[in-house]
Amino acid sequence: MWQKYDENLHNNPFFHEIIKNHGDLIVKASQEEWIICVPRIGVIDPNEITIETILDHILVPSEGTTLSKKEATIKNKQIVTNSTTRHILFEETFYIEDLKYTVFCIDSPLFSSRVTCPHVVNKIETLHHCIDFFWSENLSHVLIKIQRLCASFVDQNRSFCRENLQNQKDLIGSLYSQCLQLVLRNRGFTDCDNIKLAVETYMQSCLDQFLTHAINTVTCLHDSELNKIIRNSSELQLKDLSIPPKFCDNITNAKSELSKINNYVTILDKVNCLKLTFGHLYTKICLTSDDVLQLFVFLILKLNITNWTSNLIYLTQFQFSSHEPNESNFLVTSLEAALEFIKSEQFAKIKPRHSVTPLFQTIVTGDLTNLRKLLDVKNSGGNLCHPLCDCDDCTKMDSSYDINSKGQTLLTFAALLGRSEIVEFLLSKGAEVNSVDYFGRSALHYACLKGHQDVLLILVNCRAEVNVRDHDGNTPLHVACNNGHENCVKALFYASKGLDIDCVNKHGDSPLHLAVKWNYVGICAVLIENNANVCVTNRKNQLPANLAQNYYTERFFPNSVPKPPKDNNRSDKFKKIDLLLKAIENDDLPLTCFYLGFSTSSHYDFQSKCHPLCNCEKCEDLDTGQDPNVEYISVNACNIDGFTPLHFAAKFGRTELLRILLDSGALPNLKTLKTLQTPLHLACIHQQVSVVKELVKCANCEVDSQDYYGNTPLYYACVRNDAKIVEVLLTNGANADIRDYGNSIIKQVQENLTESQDIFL
Amino acid sequence: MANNTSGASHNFKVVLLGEGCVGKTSLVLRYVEDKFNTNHVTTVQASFLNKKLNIDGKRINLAIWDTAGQEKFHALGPIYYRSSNGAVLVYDITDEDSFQKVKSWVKELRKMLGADICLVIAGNKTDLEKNRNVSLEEAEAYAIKVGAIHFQTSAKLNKGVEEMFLVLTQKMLETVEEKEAQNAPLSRQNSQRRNVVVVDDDQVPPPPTRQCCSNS
Repeated sequence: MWQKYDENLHNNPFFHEIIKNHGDLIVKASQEEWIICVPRIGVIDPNEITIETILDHILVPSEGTTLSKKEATIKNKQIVTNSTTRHILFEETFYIEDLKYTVFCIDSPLFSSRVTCPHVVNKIETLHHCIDFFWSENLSHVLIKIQRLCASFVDQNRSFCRENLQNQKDLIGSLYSQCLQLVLRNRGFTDCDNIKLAVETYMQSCLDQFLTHAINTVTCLHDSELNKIIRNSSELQLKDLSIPPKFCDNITNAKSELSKINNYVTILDKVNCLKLTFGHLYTKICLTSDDVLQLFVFLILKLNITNWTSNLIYLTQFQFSSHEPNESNFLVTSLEAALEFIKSEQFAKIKPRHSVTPLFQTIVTGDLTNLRKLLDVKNSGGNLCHPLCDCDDCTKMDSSYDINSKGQTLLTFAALLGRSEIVEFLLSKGAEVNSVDYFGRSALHYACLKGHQDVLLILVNCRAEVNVRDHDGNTPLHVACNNGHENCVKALFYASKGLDIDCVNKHGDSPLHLAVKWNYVGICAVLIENNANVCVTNRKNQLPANLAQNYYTERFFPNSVPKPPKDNNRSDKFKKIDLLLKAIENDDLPLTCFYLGFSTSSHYDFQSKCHPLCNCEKCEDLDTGQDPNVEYISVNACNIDGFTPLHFAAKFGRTELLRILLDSGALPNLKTLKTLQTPLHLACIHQQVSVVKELVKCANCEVDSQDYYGNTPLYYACVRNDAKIVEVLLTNGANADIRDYGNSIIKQVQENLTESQDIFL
Repeated sequence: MANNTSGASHNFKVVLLGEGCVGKTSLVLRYVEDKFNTNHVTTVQASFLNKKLNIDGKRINLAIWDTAGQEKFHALGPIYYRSSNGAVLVYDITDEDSFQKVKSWVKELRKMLGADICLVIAGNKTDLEKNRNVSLEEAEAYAIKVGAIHFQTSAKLNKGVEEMFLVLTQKMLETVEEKEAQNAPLSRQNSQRRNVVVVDDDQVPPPPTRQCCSNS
């Protein structure tokens, strides 16, 4: 692959002339370390090969000139002279009878203004290059023939995906030779390697998903096992793999490149994708092979690719055109090595580092006696101010308030590490079973995440909430399905009542979506047996059946359409909404109105309406300035984080737009997904007085809405020390006595703030 | 691209093996790019490099693979060295452990690839002669014993590097030509196939049987 330019210099007339008639120059070149440049075959007229041109083509690197005393320097694989820049196509070192000299093969003659052959050397790195190659070689007529051959092959091999790998290889191999015969039938064998490569690549592009699907099927089990390892290690960070942080920038680019690997169907394109990924990793940094391997492992862990084994088998086993140990071979081998390492015992030993207090350390080591001792000391040692005191010092005494840097309680941490004894002990001591950490995950989530079935059963027995959702909307069942813990999925069904099997997370994925996506066939079976809904669509409008990549997972959906009803509208919509929000941020009212389908004139000019809510005929006309052919964004549409246009208008203080939005039916109380904030919250946080005034005027505006932290808009206004907003809120009935989830009350926050204080009095 | 007519053309795969920090990457960079200070090398893919040689009219394309040297990656060795024609085993003359590591590589290579693979052993960093911890005599005696050729190199001073690769190439050439003489039809294809790992359907391990509600 990547047929880099190559030719046998002994057949090159220019070089031949030097060898034959100027042996003295060669001897001299060997002694003085001169470099002989040879224009590639066919670009120089044999009549032009004179002693002058030859002297022009012998470089003296130490002086930066040629033998003819013209300036010529070597820079970055190019030879730069006053008049020309030539590419070095390849370098060859000759060892002939005790002489050693170096030859550069260059794309056209030095110092020659006449470019004999502007046609650039064929470079075949992608499918496009292959197709170009067919055209440039006058072979375009075979493209359609290859297409037909492939189509009939697909037709004749309906059960191809269930063949074993060897048979698949043989069948594809014979298809390849048929295709090759089409081309070679009436041709000599010139440029044979490139023809082979182009034919093979084009054939693969014709087979498209047919072949990928078949290999996915064969490797399904391997992939599901690999996915399980990858999913369960996905929290590993750079430092866990001892990768220096200086590689961060390179990783970002490499990751986005490698994530495209499944967009390509041909081996050539996939390998090119690997090559580009490597290129990103190497940018500005020299890496050792150790670094490369670790970075590759890291990329694989962080990417959402579900069929690495399948890709690898495809790249290693289905290439028939070339077997030489070249660069593509090396790249594929690197991928193989990285995957092999992930599957190795060495990798299993790598654990994320927990920075822990002594109390948490007892859980890491599983030392129950010590934990008991420490807790006893804690509970007896300190005296509470009074029995029910909840001042800061006293709350620290209470073991259930012990949390680590991720907000995990002792119980959650013990569940994460699968210390069932400790879990039991803590529960017997009255630990709160449903407490969640900063990611909204409960102990049950972590038991499912790590596949600790015993812990899961204990927790469920102690009435752990089974349908609790974390900040990404995942239930414990989601987590178990995502990480491939079939035992936990079964236990959840067995032990808990009221399990919500079709609950969707913030991506709209149900547990079944996840199980299908990662090829966990066993889990799919359990979910289907328990009547999981197969008709749930996620936010990309995909049914679980659409995520199936192989025969085994497709089997579960006998009635569904075999191929996804490709509907990009939905993701397009999200993109559109992002554009709309951007327009609001930039204060671009006309553009905003355009996206929403408002006719700007009517809204700019309120006076033209009888009154703001009028729907008399005349005013109606003003409103419906919409073009029926364009799909507009609804006023209450939200982006992926739940922000509506109203949120943005409030945040950035776009009062005029806000009015327009409210008039067009925007709901004032919609909450964002993560922080659960209303537009009023945002207006208070960003101190947009006029917006606040506008919002509280709405009849149905909830002034005391609490966000994720339990804070009301009034709280934020107080924290910002914005007297005007506080006043507006209080006059509109805001309640100053609501406690947030950290138990502080607005009046307490108030104490330090002077300006707004008198408003409360 | 096809080049027919005079002079056979060979593609040789050479792997560099050795502990981390013995200078594998520096050796290959010195040989192919004639560079030493790797900090100044921009965008050079040092893990895989090509070098074209022409020895008495025979064209040879060396594909030089650098491998990961850390102990935790040791098990990945076979993935890298399978179907290679030659191996450069590098140790650091100031580090006795790295020489022991070379010995273990030699054992492994001989066991897995037999006499098909040509070995050279490179004692690198001769610029640090005063800190030498591996005796030259011992190393040379060992090399002879296992049928390898020993070289002393310094990537920093550019000593012995080119010579080492040249001798290795000549040796690989001899091996291949001997083989070709033995069985006239090219046997390379077969030797390549031999190392291809075939994942057959039949070999797919059965899904681990899990019992409901038992501890995994």
